[in-house]
Amino acid sequence: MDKFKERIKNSKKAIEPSQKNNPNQLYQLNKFKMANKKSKFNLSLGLNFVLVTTLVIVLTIGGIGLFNNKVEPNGKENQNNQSVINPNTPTTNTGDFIKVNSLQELKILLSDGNLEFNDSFDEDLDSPEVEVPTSPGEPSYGIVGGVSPDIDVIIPSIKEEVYETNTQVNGVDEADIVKVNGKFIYYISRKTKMLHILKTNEEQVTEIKNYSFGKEEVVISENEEAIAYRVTETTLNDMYYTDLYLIVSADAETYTKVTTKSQNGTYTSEYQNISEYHIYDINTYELVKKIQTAGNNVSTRLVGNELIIVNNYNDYKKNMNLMLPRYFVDDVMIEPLVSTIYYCPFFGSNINSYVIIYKVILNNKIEIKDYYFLTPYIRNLYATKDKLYLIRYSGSISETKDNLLTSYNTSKVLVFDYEDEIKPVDVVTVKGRINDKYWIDEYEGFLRIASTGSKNEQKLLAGKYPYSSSSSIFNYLTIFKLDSDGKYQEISSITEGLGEIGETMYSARFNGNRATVVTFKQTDPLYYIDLTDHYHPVITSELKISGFTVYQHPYNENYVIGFGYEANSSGVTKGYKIALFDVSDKYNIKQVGKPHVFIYGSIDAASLINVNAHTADYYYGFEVISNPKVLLSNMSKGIFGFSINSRDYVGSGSSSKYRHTNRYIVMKIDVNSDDPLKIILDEKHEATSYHDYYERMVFVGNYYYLLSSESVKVYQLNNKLDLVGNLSF
Amino acid sequence: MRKISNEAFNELYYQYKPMIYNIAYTYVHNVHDADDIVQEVFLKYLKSTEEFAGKNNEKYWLIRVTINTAKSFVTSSWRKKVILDEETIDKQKNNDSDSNDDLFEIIYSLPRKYKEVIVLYYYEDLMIAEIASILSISQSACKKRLERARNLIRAREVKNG
Repeated sequence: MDKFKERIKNSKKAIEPSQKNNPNQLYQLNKFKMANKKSKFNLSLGLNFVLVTTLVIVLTIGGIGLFNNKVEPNGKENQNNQSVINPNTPTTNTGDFIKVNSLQELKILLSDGNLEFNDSFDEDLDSPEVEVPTSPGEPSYGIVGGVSPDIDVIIPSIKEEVYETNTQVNGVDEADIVKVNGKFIYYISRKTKMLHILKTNEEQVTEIKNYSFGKEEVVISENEEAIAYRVTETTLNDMYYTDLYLIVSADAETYTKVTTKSQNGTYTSEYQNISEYHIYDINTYELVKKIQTAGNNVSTRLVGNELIIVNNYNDYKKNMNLMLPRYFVDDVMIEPLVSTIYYCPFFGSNINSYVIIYKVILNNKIEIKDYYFLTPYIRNLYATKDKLYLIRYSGSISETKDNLLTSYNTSKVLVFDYEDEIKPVDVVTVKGRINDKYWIDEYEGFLRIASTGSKNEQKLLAGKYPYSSSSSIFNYLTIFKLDSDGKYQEISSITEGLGEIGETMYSARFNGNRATVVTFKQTDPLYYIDLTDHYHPVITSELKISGFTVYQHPYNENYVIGFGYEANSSGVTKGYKIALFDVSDKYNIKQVGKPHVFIYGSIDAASLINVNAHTADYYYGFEVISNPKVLLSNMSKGIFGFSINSRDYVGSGSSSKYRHTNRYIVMKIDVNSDDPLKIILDEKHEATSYHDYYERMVFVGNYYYLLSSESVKVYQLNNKLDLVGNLSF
Repeated sequence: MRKISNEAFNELYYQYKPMIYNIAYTYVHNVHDADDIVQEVFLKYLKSTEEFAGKNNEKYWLIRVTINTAKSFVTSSWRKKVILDEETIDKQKNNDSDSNDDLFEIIYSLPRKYKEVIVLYYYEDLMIAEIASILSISQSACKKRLERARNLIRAREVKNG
């Protein structure tokens, strides 16, 4: 054995000797505990450990109580003692983040996930030798076709109700392609990728500026044989605004293009996608800061004047020269120090990505803070005003009970405080997948998580677990309470009763002491879960109807609008559905009046009873179910709006073709009517491409603005929405 | 509850206690908590009705439960951070660490997956195939983890001078 390995073996000598040694006590203790299974032991582990022998027994009982049982406030013990045998069993706990010590250590950690190092990536470039700079290049930002050079600076002073993005949490803004700031509308057309800055004055709307980004080629090197270009293609995504700034996010793809002069050959390489943030002065629209972040964006949030950007980063998989996630501020490269990178030994076993959190403080002086953690890949996030919850899918955990080995897939939630410095404070694990950000919710110190997943069960046979197993779907609700140490402790869960056999959870929405959950296989059980006592959540009501809801939108305390699918009795989807549910009586939730169903043409609309049927050959593009931010929501007036597309086959013979129609529909809720979802606007036009439609509608006071790549239509709210103005781009 | 006599349990306890204690200590790094974990693991053993096909399977079961219990404990023991901090201060006062201590500290601070293989391979003298079985990973993955763990230890030793 070499010396190094011998030294590792010898390091065991540093383990301090045990201070306890009494199997007889343990044996008796176990008998005693089994005999008194229903007794209540609730002693604190915080007592002194070194006591006389009798006290050790008592202490151990107390310790066991804390180890094995969820101790409820009333002193009840949960007797669900299960032996955990899988070594990868995650726990509800806090990761102890450790600083990375050196580049060499970082390299080893990043080699996780069976990555192959590829230090020679640059040499693989099959092109003439041309010097290539390390900068990702300068994006082609600037004004294209500015409509009016005279900036009309108006500080919004009106207090009338204006459109806000349909976000999950009040006070935590989410980026979107449209924002309304007083009388100003900022709108990025997804068709033209152009940012329009519009000023409204009731029925009048004017464009005061527009921005467009495109493709730019910059010669970066040239010799006798070849020319190298840095090519940057930038597309606008979405935006935020604050009192001081308009923040526009964009994706920039950069690559190096080399053309040879003699052979007219072209080579491209070093593709890199960069998430950019262009920060403009809110009054002059002058660019004041440009941030090019590292990695792929998971999501962003704006809380007050602080922009939080969460990225996954694994560019090093292509090129280990990119092991340190460099980013650029006004084209100045910033590379993190190794000592600012952390990993957590307890947060999952596979480090296959960085999660990078940028905090951009948007005061008069813009400050950027960056935080780096080596973690598994982050899938989604949920944010409150003071905490970030990063969600990832995790491996399986196994439990044995009564000779039955049950394995569950799991999700982990990494919790960060971000009020001041961003710091990890807890790791929470739940069985199943957290498929949507709406499935997680923090309320008055309770963290509520809905999850769905699959479990495998193997029965012990002849001392072994066979390979064959049976699998099934489960739907859980798990509740954690924030303790005085700032950690979440699991206090209760619902593991039975949500969905019948084989039913998967499709949507969940929390609202105060209420959760509404939808599962589906053939029909849509909508469950009401009473969370008045978070220690004892109870399913109080369920409603079975055809189809299922994917997105639930609350309308005051008593109603939920469901956006989802209609389905036949076999569970085959037949169209999109919008329905209103009365959840005011937790013991008797019910559907109110007729839902609207946008039916695929193969269904006979007449066969559907008590439904407002809209027929077309085929409906598509009902974006609200996948991206609830598109929803126009003015719940104080009971108004909501959405876009939907349809396709019909028209003509005959060689002249036949598909005709695409785009509709923007606005509905007003009247809960006292048999038909509670009344259409007050149904704007249609023929569309020619996917993004060629009315994308959004926003409002300022009583005026509503319908936005598309070609125009802004203005409506005044009366009994219906009446067209009163128009602006063509 | 397991059907086992006090005498048979005594024998099992003395056979496996050092192993369980050592594994637990590499996670919690203090005698009190490691002792608590030993007790907890044996209580789980007594409570369990799991039957084992052979002595080795019993040992592997104990190792798995020890690792799980220790992992759970590491975080729940944040409550006892004050105690740990006091120990740390005491150790710094004593300042009598030798190279064994230094190397153990490095192993203690390794990511979980690397620490597990090091402890089982070098401390408990298990074979690659056994470790792979206990950790439910392939033998090649086990070897890879072991190699990376060694590299990490070397890197940290260099860093620490």
